[in-house]
Order: sequence, then structure tokens, then C-alpha cells
Amino acid sequence: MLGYVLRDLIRNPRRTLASVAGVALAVGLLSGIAFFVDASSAQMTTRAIAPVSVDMQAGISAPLASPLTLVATASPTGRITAGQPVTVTLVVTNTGSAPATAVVLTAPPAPQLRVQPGSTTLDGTPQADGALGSGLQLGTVAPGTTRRATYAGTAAVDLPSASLVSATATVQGREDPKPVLANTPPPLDLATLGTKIAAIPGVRGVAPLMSVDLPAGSLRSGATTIDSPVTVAALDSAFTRLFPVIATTRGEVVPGSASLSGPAADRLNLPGGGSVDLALPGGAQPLHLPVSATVDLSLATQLFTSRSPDTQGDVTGSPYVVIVDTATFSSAIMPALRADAASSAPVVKVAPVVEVDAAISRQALSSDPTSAQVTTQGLRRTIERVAPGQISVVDNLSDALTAAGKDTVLAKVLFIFLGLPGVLLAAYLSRYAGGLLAEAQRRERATLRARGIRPAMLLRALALNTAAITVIGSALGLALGFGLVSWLGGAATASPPASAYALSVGIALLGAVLTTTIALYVPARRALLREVAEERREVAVTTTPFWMRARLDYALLAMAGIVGLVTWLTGGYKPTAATEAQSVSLSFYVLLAPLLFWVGATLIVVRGLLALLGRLRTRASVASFDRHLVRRTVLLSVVRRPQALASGVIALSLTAAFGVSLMTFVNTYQAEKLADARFVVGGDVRVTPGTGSSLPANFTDRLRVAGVSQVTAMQQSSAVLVGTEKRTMVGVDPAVFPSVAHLDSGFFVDTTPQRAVDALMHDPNAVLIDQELARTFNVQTGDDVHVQVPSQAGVPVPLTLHAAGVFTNFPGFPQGVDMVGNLATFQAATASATPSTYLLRTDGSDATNTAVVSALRAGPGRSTTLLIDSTTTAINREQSTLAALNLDGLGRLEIAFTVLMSALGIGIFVFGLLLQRRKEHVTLRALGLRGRSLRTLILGEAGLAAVISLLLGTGIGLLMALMSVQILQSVFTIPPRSITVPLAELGLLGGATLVLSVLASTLAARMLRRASLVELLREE
Amino acid sequence: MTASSEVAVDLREVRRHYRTPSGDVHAVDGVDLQVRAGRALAIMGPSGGGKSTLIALIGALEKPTSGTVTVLGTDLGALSDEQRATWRRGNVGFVFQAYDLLPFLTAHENVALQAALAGVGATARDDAEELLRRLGLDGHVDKLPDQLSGGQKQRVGIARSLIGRPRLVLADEPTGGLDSATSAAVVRALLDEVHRLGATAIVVTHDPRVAEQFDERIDLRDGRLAGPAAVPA
Repeated sequence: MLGYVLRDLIRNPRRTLASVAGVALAVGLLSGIAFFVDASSAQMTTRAIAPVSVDMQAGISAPLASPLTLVATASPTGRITAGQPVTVTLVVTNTGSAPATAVVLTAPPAPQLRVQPGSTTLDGTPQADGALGSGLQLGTVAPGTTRRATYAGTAAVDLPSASLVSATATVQGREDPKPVLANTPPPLDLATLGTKIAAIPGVRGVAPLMSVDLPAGSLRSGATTIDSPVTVAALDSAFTRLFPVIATTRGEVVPGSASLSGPAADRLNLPGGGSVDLALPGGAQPLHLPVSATVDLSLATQLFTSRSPDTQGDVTGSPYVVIVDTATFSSAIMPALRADAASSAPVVKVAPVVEVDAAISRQALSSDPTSAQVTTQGLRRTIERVAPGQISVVDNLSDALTAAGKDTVLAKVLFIFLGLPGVLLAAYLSRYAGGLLAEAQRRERATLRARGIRPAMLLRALALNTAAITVIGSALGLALGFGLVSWLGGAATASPPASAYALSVGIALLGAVLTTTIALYVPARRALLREVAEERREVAVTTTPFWMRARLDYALLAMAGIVGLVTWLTGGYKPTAATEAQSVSLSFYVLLAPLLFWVGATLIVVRGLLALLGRLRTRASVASFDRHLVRRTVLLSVVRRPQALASGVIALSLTAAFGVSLMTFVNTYQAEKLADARFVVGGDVRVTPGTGSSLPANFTDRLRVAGVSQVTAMQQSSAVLVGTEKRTMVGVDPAVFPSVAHLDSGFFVDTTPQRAVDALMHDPNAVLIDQELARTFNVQTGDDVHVQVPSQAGVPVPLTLHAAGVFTNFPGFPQGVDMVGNLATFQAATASATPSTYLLRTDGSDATNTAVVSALRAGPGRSTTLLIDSTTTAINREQSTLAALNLDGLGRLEIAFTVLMSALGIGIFVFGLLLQRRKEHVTLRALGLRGRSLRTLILGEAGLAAVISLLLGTGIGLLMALMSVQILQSVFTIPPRSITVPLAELGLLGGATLVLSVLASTLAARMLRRASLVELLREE
Repeated sequence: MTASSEVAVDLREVRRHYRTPSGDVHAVDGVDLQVRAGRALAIMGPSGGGKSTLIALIGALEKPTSGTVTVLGTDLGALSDEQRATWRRGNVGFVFQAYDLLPFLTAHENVALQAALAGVGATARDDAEELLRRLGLDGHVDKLPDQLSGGQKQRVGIARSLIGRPRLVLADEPTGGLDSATSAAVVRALLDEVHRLGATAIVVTHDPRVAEQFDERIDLRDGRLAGPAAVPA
């Protein structure tokens, strides 16, 4: 039996090849998509955690706890009866690293105890009676030392526990005036906490971080005082090595000295050194520190966000930051904070942050975000168990991975739906090939049955045949899928685990079994179970296709309409903008509607085509063949037997529509991705000079390196007063800005980009207002807006601006900006001609951007510290990870399969026709038809099918793309309003299809010429 | 008319061998045959005797493995594929056993197509309807082959073979699928039209009653001429 099946496969190479090719393409595409999804999931994990600068933050819950501890015990322990003698022992320990001075131990006698006179001692030395009750002066307690006080008495009543007699004792010192109650746990030591966390497997490293917000006026240099709150942060070099989020723009960070943030250095006029005085609360002496560096903290926002569960993630720090080392913070600032906290009117409102920041071994995390999240959450729990109840852990990784996990699922749905039509198409092509070759198969089966082969044996042979095709097709398909994914760079940056690939292989093999079962086995089995005579009769009878009889086209279109309507009514098409660490909402049905439309629309147009040909058929007249012999023959062949053409058009137009929709979707996606990146960056490249940099007069010209077509400057201040609120304002040059940045019409609420720019150009005091600000202050277009812009010297300059429009988004400010005004007006008010940011326009390509960035670093970047960002390197932290997907690779993968499927479809169509009509072709050849005319005859029908299919497929594909791109509404900041049609790629696909038609027809004609006319004419 | 022109078909030591997996097949094995112009020859013999191959060689559908095939003064062995197609178009009319009409063309169109191929022009095309009528197909000219009986299809095939006014008409088992009465009528019609044209006819047949209507008969067995074929008295 096996031998027969193998011989059957080998002796029918066309049938075997067509079936195997269909299965291989289905498996190849399915496995290719699955492999791509695996790789992309891994990329999404990497992408999701990339912006996380500090993985986990273990903060001490009571950072101001005194280092003094008091342990009070009574002897005997346990239950005490009235009249029983009791000895109370009080042990004071300084667990800190500094001496505790003026320590006072207070232990009022318990009312249940009659104190024995003369029993009070301190370290064995007798003390006056009542000394403990009024406060026993212990003096200075050195670090790590203890003092012991005792007194004795008799229980006045029965006591359930001896400890009750000593529960109210307290200890306090000058450094920590807040009394410490007896028997409270010792405070957590940051160093010990760090050591314990560092020892946890999976933790790559730890570093301490402390910070506190001090009130306005705390920081000064000489006569200049910053009249805003100041954030003091403490970290060591170990921290900056582990978390490289702090860039030194000038000088060098030196222990024992202070580093200032750019705004603080600017405000204090300390661009190059000097010293500062930091006023400390709690009556402590001001801290005088030399300034050794200016630092850029733009990437360190995570250090200055709220750790409170209610406001976690909100940026709380001031732009005026002083960074000191942890030793200085512990020895000088913490005691002052404790003293302030113990005072009746503390000036520091929020407790300091005292934490150990942990870096996790990211390489050890699973590439699957969901699995990785299990690991990070386990690590968080392990860290919490180091000091239960005493620390709270902020798990930044898990938060990021939660969103990535959801996005991965959505990405898989997206990929599968984008690729599913291709898989269905490959299966259909397999079935199409089987249908075209069915006649020969039926003849063979009839012969075998006439020779006495039982149907059961034929069924077994069919099963074996199908299995063999499945195995061969699957092997080829898996190799094709893996090869193409590797070749096209789908798995470029991340390697998913083997288990993920195994699952993908399993899914692909399941797809192969389903494809062959549905496309090959079931139809063949059904045919086999009929009688030979019936089969023969069916061959001759032209029946209406099943899909026409079942009105499948109407049904599918109706379903597509219903799905689309329901999706629309339930808000599936409405944009649900993603915010940080949140996933987008993607409706499953948004993707289902194009799939249904794809098949339904193709079939209904083919139904129309058949109806049209039917009308032509009745009108066809007996006409001359003298001229246009081949053309007339092709026309009559098509008109009078349109089913063959229709089946070819269905297969080819489905392929074309799939390719067109996919290419258009991917093209639109890439265009949106670039638009979003450009929105984040502002232009193609953004250059921010280091704070305090003195820029040469021709700096703008120096930025015009090769590849840069336009440069525009911006100046920003985050301290513009609107009423009493500080708001951010940016000044732009309206003459140049629109040619560098893209002002989308969707950004503006009540005006157009052109009108907004015109207003800024014609009215120097015009200002565009953010919608939130407009609502808060009830500002409308046309209103005057009174603001105070801080001058270079920090003096507020009143300015009356005219609201010229309201916007929701502004390019270059993904996190928002409150006001946009005229650069010249802004600079005149601030008396500063130094822009804070420059936006550059290039051709937008990655290659040009990379070259421009290199040229900038090698040119103006040599003498000035420049922070350079470009659309190529920008990581949009505000966007869903879906926006960062490499759909380009998937697009290339599926386009490759589209071309292969087009080739297969055309091949099946042409060679299927050849098989069906070779008798006609041979007859014509025998009657003297030229070889060239024969080729034209074959090409005529194939070309007609290809052209009709391309036209039909392009139209349907574009409509599918219009439906599919709706999902991008929720993925990008700038939602797509239409599709971006890739004309070049579509032209390429069309050209490839036509070239393939010509090649297949030429090959078919050549094969026909080589065939024995006599042999073919003898065939019945 | 020269001596050579009197001989329409001249075969000298013609062989046609095929290579198959089970060995070489000598379909035609050293045949010498001359058929004079205007004569009607019936080729008889058992199945597999080489009849169809011989007629394919004469009709330039095949090239001999060796020997010379000269038909209507042309050495067919010297022609390329394309030249042989051109030669067939202008000189030969074929009638096939399975009719081999183009299924999407009506009877009239099938004949008209051949007229166009042969390049005989509008007059001959106009003759097509008359020819079909003479062959008993009046009222069937606009029917597709599927709508015709076997005998009618073969009459269309005959009309198609004659419309180009060929000098040689070749028919391979033209009555294979027909009953006796129809066979006789079809062959009679064919020969009548051939004589009307003054063409030469070579027909392969199994049927002795068909063969007896021909001027000459030969018997071909195992690829060799076994002598004149016997026909019932």
C-alpha cells in the first residue's frame, strides 16, 4: 500500500507538487508568523523594560526612626500575683553610626507596682528614687553601646504579664527628640538592608538612595537664594554605576561636595563651581558644601517620583536638585529631619525617601513578558520578606511587564489576523489545485475500482497519500518559515526560548493537518465514495459552484457588516489612547470584519463577473476569425465557459487582495510610527545643549550638517506663572517651525495648524494654549492671558499674551506643554537669546538620521555638550509597546509569501488550464496554429485572469486595509485618518504577477510544443 | 504533371522508434509507400500495428527516426516544428477519431477557425455553411459540439478538414465511435468531398466495410507493410 502511494505521488508530479506547495506555503506562513510573534514578544519584553531605569526600590517605611532602642523586661516573666517582688530592667542601645547625646530615659513607675525605695540603678550605680520617672540623664551613648537601668518593687495587684509594668518607658536624645517607646523593633539599617537584598539570587546589584524635599529658600549661594522648594538627593558612585541615569554636564561628582541640577546651577549662577549653603530644618546648622558638578537629571525622573501607593509614579521633585553623598546625608541631614519631625511645627511636610534601589539581572528574565513578570513579582516578594512590615517595595519592572504582557497578547492577535488570510489562501490554493486535477484522479480511481480494488483500500491509500503530503509539506513549510524569518530579520534582536518555538511548530503542524484534511482529504474522500458512473457524469456536467448556490458571498458580507456595525456601536473603532504602563484596548472584531469582507467581497464581484460574461455569451455572434484569430478564440473561450476563469480570478484576487491589504497596512503602520516618533522628537532630530553651555553665535548654522535641510530653535521655561501656578511655556519660531515639525490638524481644538502659525507670525504676543490649561483658567481663543515669565536673572516679567488657539498635543512635547508662544517675544521677555532646544529636519530615513547624529557629535558636539535624540533612536515612553513593534519584518515576511502564493496561484491556474485544455491546444497545433499564437492563446487567458484579479484584488485589498487600520487609532498618538498606499510595492506586486503569468504561459506553451501530438490526440 | 507530382505521398525506408521504460518500440519499421495524387487509401491492421504513427508521419505531426517522408513534394524530415505547422496549415486536412472540436465554438465557428488558419479567405468561409449543409448539418451550424451527436460532430470534423481546400486529407479512425450505418454515411460524405476537391485521402480504419469504399488498401502489422489489405467481397 505504502509503495503504491509513493509511486502515485512520484508518477503524478504536478498534482503532488501543487498540493505540497499549498501545504508548504500554509505551514510556512503560519510557522513564519508564529516564529515572528515569538521573536516580537521577546522584543516587546526588552522594549517594555528598557525605559525602566531603576528596577525595584525598597524604601524604609519609617525613615526617621531613632537609632536609639529601649528594651524593657521584668523578672520574673509571665503571670505575677499581688505581693510578688518584681525587678524591671531597661536597656538603651545606640544602633546608629553616630553618638547619641543628651539621652534621657524615662520610665514612670507602673501603677500596678509599688517601687522599692533605693532600688533604682544605672549601670549598677544607685540613682535617686524617682529619677526614672522624671527622666534619667544618660548623657552620651556611643554608637553600638548600651546603658542599663534597673529598679525593683512589689506587685500591687495580680498581673497577667510582667511586661505590663514596663510598657510605658521611653528614651530620647538630642539628635532624635521624638521619644522611642520601649520594646519597639530596632530601626532598619540601610547598609544591612542593602546587604540582604544584594544576596538575593537574581539581584544584580544594589545602591542606597536618600532624598528629601526642603522648603523654599533652603538653598543659596552667596546672596542668591532659590525661592522654590529644593530636592536634596543622596547617592554614591555605586548608584551612578548601577543606574546610569545621571549625566554630568560640567565638572565631576566628588564625595563631600554637592552636584547641582541644571536649573539650580542656572538659578544660583553657578555654572562652573563655587559653593552653596543648604539650610536644614530642626534647628540644625546650615550645611556648607562646595559645588563640584552640574548634572542633567532628565533621565532620572524615576528617582524623584512619589513612592506613595496613592500617587505612585507622580513626579514630586523640584527642578532645583542638590546631590550629596550618602554619608553627608546620614550624618548631617537625617538628624536634622528627625529633629524637625519631632518638633511641634515641622517644616518638612513629606518624610524623606530612604531606600535601597535594586538592579535585577534582566538577562535572566524570560523573553515572555508574562513569565518575566512572574519572576519579578517573586523577587519583589523575596525583597519584602527581608524586613517584613518595615519596607515597602516599588516594583517598576512588574508594572512595565504587565502592560507588555497585555500588548503581547494583542500583538499575537494582530499578527495572526494579519497572517490568517494567507494561511487560508494557501489552503484554498491546495484545494484549487486538487479541484483542477480531480478529473485525472477520478479516472485513476475508476480504473482501480474496475480492477477490483475495494473502496476501503482506496480510502486507506488516500489517507496515506494525505499524510505523506502533510509530512512533506510540513517539513518544507517549517524550513521555509524559519528560513524566511531568519533571512528577513524577524528574529533580529531577541531570541525566544525553545519552548516558545516548540509551541509555534506545534501550531504550524496542526495547521498543516487541518489544511490537508480540509483541502485534500475530505473532498477526495467524498468523491471516492460516489459511484464511478456518477463521477464520470459529474465531470461532464457544469454545475454552479457551491459558494454561489449557498450564497456564501452574501452571507459573508452580511456578517462583515454586522461585525463592523456591532464594533462601531460598542466603541471598538473609537481611539482609546494608551497611557504609560497601560495597554491599548483592541477589539477582536475589528480584525474579524476585514477577514469576512475579504472573501465575501471577492466572491460577490466574481458573481457579478459571471453574470456579465453570461450576458456577453448570449450576444456573441459567429464572426470572422480572419483577423484577431487568437484574440477572438480567447474571448469566446472565456465568455462561453467562464467558470474556469472565475475560479482562477477567485484564487488570484484573494492573493492580490491579501498582499495589497497587508502592504498597505504595514505601510500605514510604518508611516504612523514615523509620525509618532517625529511627534515625540519634534522634528527628525532634536538637539539640546547642556545646561549652562555657552553657545556660539552661529550655533544654528553649525547644526546644518550634511543631511539637515532645516533647523529651528525653541526656548522653554517651566516656571512661567499663570495666576499663582507655574506652567511650562515654549517659544517657537513660527516662520520655520512648521517646516521642521508636523503640526497635525488633530492637535488643535478650535483652529487649524495654518491659522495657528499665522497667528503666531502676525501677532508677537499670540499664544497657543493647552486644552487643560484653557479649561483650568477658562481661557478661550481671543482672550488675554496674563503671565509672568522669569527673566534670566530669575525676576518675573509680566506679559500679556493673546490666546490664538487651543491645542491638545504639540510636537516635541509628548508629556505636554501648557503654552506655545513666539520665540522672539519669549526671548525679549526673558532677556535670554540662548535657545534651549533645536529641532532639525532631515529626509527622515534612519541612515540620514544616524549620519546627522554622528556629524553633530563630531562637529558642534566636540565643543558643547549636546543631548541628541532622533526619530531613529527615540523611545516613546508614552506609547504602548504595540507602537514599537517591528511590523516591517512581518510585512516583508508576508509579502514574500504573497509573491510565492501569487506564483503558486498563477502556476496552478496556467498549468491547470493546460491540463484541462491540452487536447484543444494540441488540436489547434495539429491544425497548424503557430507556436507563438499558441503561447498568446494561453497567455491571453492567464493574463486576463491576472489583470482582472489585480484590479479586483487591489480594490478589495485597499478597502480591507481601510478597515484594518482602524485598530491603529488606539495604538498611536496621531491616529491615522486614511491609509498610506505603497504605490511602489503595489506596482511591484502587480508587475511580479504579470511577469509570472508570462513566464508560466511561456513555459506551458513550450511544454506543449515538446509534447507528442500523436500521444495527446489519442487520449480520450 | 511530372512523375513526382503524381505521387502525393512518398515514404522511403521510414522508421519511427519510441523509447519507453520497457524498451524501444518500433511503431513504424521500414515502410516504403507511394500514394498517387487524387487517390483514396485505407490503412488497415490490428491495434498497435503503427497505423496512427504512419498517418502522423505523413501529416507532419511526427518526424521519422530514419528514412524520408516526402509529401506533396516536400521532405517533411527537413522541416522544423514551426515549418511543419505552417506546412500542415496549407496542405493537410485532419479528421480525428475523437472529433477534437473546440468545445466553446459552434459547428460553424469550428470550421471558420480552420478557414482562418489555412488563410483561404472569406470565400471559403462563406463556403463553410454550404459545406456543412452538404454534410447534412443544416440546422446545426450554430450548435456547440456538446449539443451534437457523434456522427454530427464527425461531419463537422470533416467539414473542418476540407474547408482549407487541402491537397491531402488524413483521417485517423474517423468512424471509431460511430455505428455502422453512420460510419458508412460519414465515410461516403468524406470521400465525396475529397473527390470534389481532387485531393488525396488516407484513412486509418479497422472497419473492412469502410475500407472497401477506398481506391486502395494496405495492411500494416508490427510497423511493417504486410501487403494489400483484404476486404470482404
